[in-house]
Amino acid sequence: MLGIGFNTYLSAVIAQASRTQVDVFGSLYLVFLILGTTVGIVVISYTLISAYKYRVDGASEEGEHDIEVGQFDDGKEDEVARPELGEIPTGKGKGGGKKLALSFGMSAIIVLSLVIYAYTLLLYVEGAPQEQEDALEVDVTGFQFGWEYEYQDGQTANALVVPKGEVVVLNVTSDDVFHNWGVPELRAKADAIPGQYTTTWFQANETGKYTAVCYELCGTGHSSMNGPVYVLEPDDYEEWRENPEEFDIEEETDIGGS
Amino acid sequence: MGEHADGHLPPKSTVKRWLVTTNHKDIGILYLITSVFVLIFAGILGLLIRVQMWSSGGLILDGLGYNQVVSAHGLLMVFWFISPFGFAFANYFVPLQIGADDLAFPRLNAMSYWLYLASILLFFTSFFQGATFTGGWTMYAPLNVPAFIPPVAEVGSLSAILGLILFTTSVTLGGVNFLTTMYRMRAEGLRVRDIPLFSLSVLLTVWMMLFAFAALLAALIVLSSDHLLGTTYFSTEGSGALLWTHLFWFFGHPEVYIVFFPALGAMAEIVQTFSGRRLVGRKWFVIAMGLVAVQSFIVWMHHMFLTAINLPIKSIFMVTTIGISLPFDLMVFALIYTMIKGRVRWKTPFLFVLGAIIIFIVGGITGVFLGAIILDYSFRGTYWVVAHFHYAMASAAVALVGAVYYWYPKMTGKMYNEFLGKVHFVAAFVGFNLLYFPLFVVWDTPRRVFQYSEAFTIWHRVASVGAFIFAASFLVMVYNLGKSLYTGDEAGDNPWAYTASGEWAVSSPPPLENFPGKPSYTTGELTFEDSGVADGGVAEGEPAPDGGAATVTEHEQHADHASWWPMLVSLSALITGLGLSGLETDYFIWPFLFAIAVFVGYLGVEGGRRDGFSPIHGLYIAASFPILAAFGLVFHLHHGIPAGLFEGGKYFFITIIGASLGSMTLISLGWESFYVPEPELAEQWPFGEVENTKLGMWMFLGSDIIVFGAFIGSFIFTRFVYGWQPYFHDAAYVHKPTWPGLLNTYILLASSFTIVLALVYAKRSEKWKALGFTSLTFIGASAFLVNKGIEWVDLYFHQGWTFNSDIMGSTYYLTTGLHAAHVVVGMLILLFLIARMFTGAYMGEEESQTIEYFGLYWHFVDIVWLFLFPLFYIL
Repeated sequence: MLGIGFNTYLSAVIAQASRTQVDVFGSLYLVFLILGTTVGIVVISYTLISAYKYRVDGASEEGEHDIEVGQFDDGKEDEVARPELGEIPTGKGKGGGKKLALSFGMSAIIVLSLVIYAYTLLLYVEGAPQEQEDALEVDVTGFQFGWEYEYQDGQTANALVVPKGEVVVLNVTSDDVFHNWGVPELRAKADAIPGQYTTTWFQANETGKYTAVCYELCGTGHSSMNGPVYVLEPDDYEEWRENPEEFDIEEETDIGGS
Repeated sequence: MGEHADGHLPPKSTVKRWLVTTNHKDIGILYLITSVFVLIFAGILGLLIRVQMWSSGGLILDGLGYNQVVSAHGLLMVFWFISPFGFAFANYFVPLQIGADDLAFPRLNAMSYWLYLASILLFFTSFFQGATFTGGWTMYAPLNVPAFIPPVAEVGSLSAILGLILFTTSVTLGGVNFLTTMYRMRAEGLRVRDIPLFSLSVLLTVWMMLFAFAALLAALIVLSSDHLLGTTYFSTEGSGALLWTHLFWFFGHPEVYIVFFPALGAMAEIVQTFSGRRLVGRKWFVIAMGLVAVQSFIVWMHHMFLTAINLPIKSIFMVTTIGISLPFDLMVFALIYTMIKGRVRWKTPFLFVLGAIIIFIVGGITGVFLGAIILDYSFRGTYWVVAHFHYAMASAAVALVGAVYYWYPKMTGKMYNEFLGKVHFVAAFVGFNLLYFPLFVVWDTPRRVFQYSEAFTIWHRVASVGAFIFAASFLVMVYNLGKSLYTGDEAGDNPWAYTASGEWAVSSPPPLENFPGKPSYTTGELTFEDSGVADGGVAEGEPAPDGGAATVTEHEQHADHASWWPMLVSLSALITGLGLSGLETDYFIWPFLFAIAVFVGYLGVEGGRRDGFSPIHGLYIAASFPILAAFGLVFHLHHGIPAGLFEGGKYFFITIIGASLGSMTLISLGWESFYVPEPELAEQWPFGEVENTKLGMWMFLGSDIIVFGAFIGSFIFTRFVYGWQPYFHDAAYVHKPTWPGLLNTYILLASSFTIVLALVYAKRSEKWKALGFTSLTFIGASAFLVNKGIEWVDLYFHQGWTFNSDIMGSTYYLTTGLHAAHVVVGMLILLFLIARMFTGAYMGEEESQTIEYFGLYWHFVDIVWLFLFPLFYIL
C-alpha cells in the first residue's frame, strides 16, 4: 500500500480536473502506447541486430547440415562458454549476468512507475465522480438480447437517454445470463451479472446517438445485442423525461439518423 | 539389443504396434500427429471466423453457427492442440534428456494418450448431436447450463463438457507420471537444477497442471452435475456466474503459462544451440520460471476487474499481474543476450524461435496494457484481448513449430529441406502479423461479435487475408516434412553444432531402450556405462513378476511392454461419456449400479482365470447375480421394466455398455502384470526414500486435494454470497442429519485404522489376519455408505429435499456425493485387493506396498470427511 495520505492527496488533485472516463482512458492509453511502442521497437531491433551481427555462415556442403564446432577455433580462448554435448549445463557460465540485472532493473522501474501512475488514475475513476450527490443514477438490466433502463423515479425505457455534461452513474445487472454493457465512445463498461450489481459512470460532453454493445458472449443473438444511447441537450432531456411517449428523440432533435 | 529391437512390441509398420505401445517415443509421435490434426481442424474453424468477419454482419454463418465456431475454435486450440503439441515433445524428449529409459508409469502414459484421443472424439461427436457447445471457450455461467443453452445444443454441450473432463483426467495422469519420472529417474549425477531447460520447463508445467487442472476438473464436475442431476450451482442468481469465473480463471490463468512453458523451454534450447553460446544467466532464467509458476496462481482475478471486486483486491491483482511481466522480461533478455558473441546460424528452427520471441514481445507488452485496470475496463471483451492472447499463445505455437524442425532429424533420422523450411517461416511470420496486428488497430471491435463499425472493414479484411497466408504456410511444412521422410538426407546422430542435451548423444531415431548403456553424469558429463553391469536392477535368477517368466532376459529389464488395456479403458470412457451426454436425470444412477454388479462378477471370472480359481472367485460370481437382481428390482419399482428401458432410450443403453465395459477393462488392467524396473542408480532428490508408485500416489492425492478444495471453496463462496444464515434457514429439509454424520465419522476413522492393521499383518505375511482386517475395512466402508444411503433416502424422498430444491441441496448432495463416490471407488479397489490376497498376493515387506498405496488413498478419503462433516452437518 502506498500510503493513504498520499492517495487522498493525489485523488483530490486529480478530481479537480474533472475528467471524463474518455479523458482518463485517453491519457493513460497514450502513455502506455508511447512507452510500449518505444520499448517494443528498441527491444525487437536489438534482438534483430544481435541475431544479425553475430551471424555465421552455416556451411552446407554435401551431407553437412550445420557448421563444424571447431571451425572457428583460432587457438585463443573463447570469450564466452560454448555448449558441449553431454555437459552438465550449470556452472562455467561466464558473462551476461550484470547486463541481465541492468535490463531487469530498468524494466522494473518502468513497470513500477506505470503501476503507480495507473493506480492514481484508478483511484480517481473509482472514487470522486461516482460519489457525487447530484449524479444521474440509472439502473441497467441486460437480457437476451437487449437492454432495459430504469431511472430513480421508476421510469423505464429501452434506450438510455442522458443529458450532456452530467455525470451518469449506472448500476448494471442482468435478468438471465452474463452480459457486459459498454459504450466504446464513452469508455464506459460494466459486467451485467445476474443477481449482482456493478457500477460504472460516464460523462458525455457531446450530444449524439451512441450504441451500447454487449461485450460478453450471451447466446445466439449476441452479435446484434445493441441498444441506442442518446446524449441530449439538458432541455431536450428534461422534455423527454416529462413525456417520453410523445417526445421522439430522433425527430425532435437533430441527432440520430446515423 | 539390435537396432531393430522392438522389445515386446510389434514392429512399427503394423497398426497393432500403435494401439498397444507403451513406449514414450511412440506415444510422443501419437501425440504429435493427433495434435496436428486438431490444429488443422481448429485452424479451419479459425478461417471460418475470418471469412465471417470479411464484412460487418457476417458472410456465411448465423448467430448459432458463429457461436459454435468461435467456441470450438477456442476450446480445441487451447485444450486439445497446444498443450498436447508441447507434450508430444515432452513425451519424446524428457526421458532422453534426463537419462531415463521411459516414463515411470508407461502404461499410464499410454492411458493419458488414449484418454486424450477419446476426449477429442467425444468433443467431435458433439457436432453431430445437433450443435456443439456455444458459450465460448471460457464457458461463462449461467450460459453454460441447460436453462440458457439453445435446445438444439443441449446434448452436444454436455458432450463437449464431458470431453473436457476426459481431457482433464488425461492431463492429471500425465502430470503424476511426469513428476514421478523427473524426480525419481534422473541419470546419476543429474541434479534437478541441471536438467536441460526444455525438460525443466516441462517439470514446472506439470506442477502447474496438477493444481490448475484439478480446479478445472472440480468446475467441470459441478457443471456436468448441473446438466445431469439438475443441481443449481451455476444458475443460482448472485453466486453462480461469479463462482464460475473464480473457478475457471483460477485454472485459466495458470493455463496460459502451462501452454507457454514447454515452448519457452524449447526456445531456450534452440537459441542456445543455434547461437552456439550457453544460455546467459541460466540460473536466473530458471528462478524466473519458478517464480512465474508460483505467481501464476495469484493473478486470476485480473480477468474479472469489471465484476465489482472491491478496490483493494483489484489493486493487488493489478500489481501481481503487471509484476508477472518482470520475470518474463528477464527470460526474454536472457534469450537475446545469448545471441551476443554467439555463432548464430539462421536455420529454420532458429528463425521460428526468433519469430516467436518477437511475437512474444508484442504479446507481452500488450498484456501489460491489460493489467492496468482502467485500460482493462475499456479493453474487456474487445479485439485488444483477442489480438493480445493470440500474440502470446501463438508465440508458443510458433516456437513449437521451430521445435518440430529442430527435433525432426532426431525423431526421423532424416533432414528436412532447409529452403522450404525458410519459405514456411517467412510465409507464417508475415501471415501471422498480417492476421493479428490489424486487430490491435481495430481493437474497439467487440469480441465474438460479427457486427462492427464500417470504418473497421479494411483492417478486418487485411486480417482475413493474413489468416489464409498463415494457414497456407503450414501446407509447405506438411509437404516438406512428409517428403523428407522418404527423400531427405540422412541427418546423423547430431546434425546441429553446439547441442548439449542427452538426446543428441544417441542415434537418430533413438533406439527403443534409449541409451547404449546406463547414462550417468557422475564424471561431470554424460557417459554410458556398460549396460550389463549397471543396469542390473533385477537380481540374477529371480523370477520377474512379469507373466511368470522365470528367466530374466535383457528385454524384461526395460518397460517396453505391449498392453491393450489403456486403449480399451479409454474406449469405455468414450462410450460412457457419449451415453451420459444424452441421459435423462432419472436414469443417471442405474448404468453405474448395473456396472457394479458386472464389476463384482467379472472380478470373480478374471481372478479365477489369472490367479487360479479359489472360493473367493466363486463367491464374487455368485454374489453378482443377487446384486444385479436387487438393482433390477429397484429399477423395476422405480421405472418399471420394460417401460423404463424403452423410455431410457439409446443413451441409456450406451451408458450401460460403456460403464460395464469400463468395469471389465479396468479389472483386466489391474490384473495385467506390468513390471517396470525402477532404476537402482538414479538421482532421486528430494524423493530418494519414496518408491515411484508411492510418489505417484502422493502427487495424485495432491491434485485430489485441490479438487475437494475447489468444492469446499465453492460451497463457502456460494454460502457467503447467498448469505451465511439464509442459506441454511431457507433450506427446505426438515431434519438435519447431524447424528448419522457423526456416526459415519467414527465408522470411517475406524476403517482407516483397520487398513493400517491389514498392512502390518501383510508385511508379516500373516495372510488371514491381513485379509480379515482388509475385509473389516470393506465392511466399515459399506456401513458408511448404508448409513449415508438411509440419510439420503430420508432427505431426498421422505422430506422431498432434492438436488434442485435450493442451493444448500445442491452443495450438500454434490459435495458429500463426490466423497461417497470416492468411498465407492475405494470399496471396488478393496474387492480387488481381497480377491488377490485370498490367493496369496501382497504378502511380505515389498509386496504389501500395494496395500500401503491403497491405505494412503483411504486415509485421504477419511481426512476429507473430517472437513465435510463440520461444514455440512454442523455449521
